[in-house]
Amino acid sequence: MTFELLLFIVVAAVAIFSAAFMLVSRNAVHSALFLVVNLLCVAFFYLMLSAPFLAMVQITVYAGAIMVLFMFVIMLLGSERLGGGTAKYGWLAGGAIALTTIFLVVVFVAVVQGQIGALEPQPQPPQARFVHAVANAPAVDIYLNNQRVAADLSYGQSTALQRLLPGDYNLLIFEACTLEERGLCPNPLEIGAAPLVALPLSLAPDSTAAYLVAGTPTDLRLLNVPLDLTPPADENTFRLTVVHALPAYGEVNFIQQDLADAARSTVLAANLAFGEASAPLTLRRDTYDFLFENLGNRLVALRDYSARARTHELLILSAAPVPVVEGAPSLRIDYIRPSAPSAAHEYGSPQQIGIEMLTTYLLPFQLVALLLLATMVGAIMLTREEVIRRERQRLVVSPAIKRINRAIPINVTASSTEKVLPSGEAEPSAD
Amino acid sequence: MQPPTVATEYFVVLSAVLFIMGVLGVLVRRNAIMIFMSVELMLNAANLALVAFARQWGNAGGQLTVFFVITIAAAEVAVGLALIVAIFRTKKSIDIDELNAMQG
Repeated sequence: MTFELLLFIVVAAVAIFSAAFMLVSRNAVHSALFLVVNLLCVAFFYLMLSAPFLAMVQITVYAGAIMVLFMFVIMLLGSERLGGGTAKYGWLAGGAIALTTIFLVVVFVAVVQGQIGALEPQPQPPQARFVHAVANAPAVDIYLNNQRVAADLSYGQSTALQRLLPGDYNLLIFEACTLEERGLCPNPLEIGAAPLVALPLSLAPDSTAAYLVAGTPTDLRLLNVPLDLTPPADENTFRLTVVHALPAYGEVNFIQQDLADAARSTVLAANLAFGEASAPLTLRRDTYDFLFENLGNRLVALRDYSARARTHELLILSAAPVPVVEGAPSLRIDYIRPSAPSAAHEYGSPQQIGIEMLTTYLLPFQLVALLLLATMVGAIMLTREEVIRRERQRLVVSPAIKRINRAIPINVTASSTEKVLPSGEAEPSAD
Repeated sequence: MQPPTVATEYFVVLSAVLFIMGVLGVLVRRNAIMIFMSVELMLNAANLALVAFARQWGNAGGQLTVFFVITIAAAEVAVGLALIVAIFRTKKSIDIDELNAMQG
């Protein structure tokens, strides 16, 4: 038996006993305090179930605010002492116990037979982004089958991460429309335009990748660079993947330079051939000087490189577009650095809950806010003095109700009632 | 996410036990405030099951649902206690067996 299981059993026993004491206690204040103990036990279970945010909400809202409200009303009505009076429906207790026992047995059987532990999390849909990294190539539209995933993507531009359905696709790259009026652009699939290139693309569930259109304008390639957006072990780091997308060029090294002391420079990724991506590098958030080199030749240097924490950065070695001039070298080496997506947050963390609440669950969130507003107004209206006085008058005049009223034994002692109800003293004429 | 050390089944059974205690409280006790507290107990039991299943599936939707349930429970308590106060001031009692003015 692990320590955690032992802890669970102890706290579960406390929760069940506090609930039982809450039910049998004859004093409402004691009942409320036992309920607080029970709510704190449930908050502890939330912590065990990796829901720290909910545990804190449970303590502040439930064990704090709601229970204070209960205590306030118990004290206000002076109904600490319960019981007394005749139990009209005493036979209900036996039936309730029998029914709940049956329910408990059914739940036990369902849990034992249902094999809840075998349930697996659903696979996440694949995510993909597209980057244009071909110098001197026109802007492109990218289609997956007949779904457009990138529109008018020119050199150096990239799309955001998109959730797609898993499966095998036919990736089609078309030259983007150059008309001034975008609305007049025809759908290339409908007019049967010839794609620049058509490639098969397979998207697996749970995968995240950047797809780079690389190569030369006449020989387009698609490079698959996997992205790692799982929560990082250290919050103060970022991930970096270096991609060699410079066509017709030999192997390159990616070096972290130390400008003060050249001997302390380190090679982060060695011998990257065209189309290769380095393994994701995990770097602390800092300012770096990087250098791409090829056989000792300096290709391109990046000074004062820094990135946000928790992102997965891409650094793509590529050629910059240059106008073709006779006699001049038509290649200028450059790099592309697309905006980087942030890693996901830990399951159940306040950040994840906050992001979910303000994206997927924004509408329920707003509705709940509206409901709370309505509740506030409703609670104030219900306890307004004249509403209650009118009700009391109505009760007095109705003969049927008068008959019932006579039969009612007053549950709460009169002395405590008068003490806590100053309104009744101030307006004796109302009675 | 670490593999769970306490199986989801235990949490579900515990939540069923707590829920039943809440049901018993609602059915057996006659004080309106006690009934309200028992309803809170039932809501909590349901929340516990939701959080346990959310962990099992690795889906934060269950936790969000619990957050909304807590919010709505707060609203429900505010209105319910206002009703109890209003009833007490008109009838001088919060015993639900006596709130039978609707039976004609």
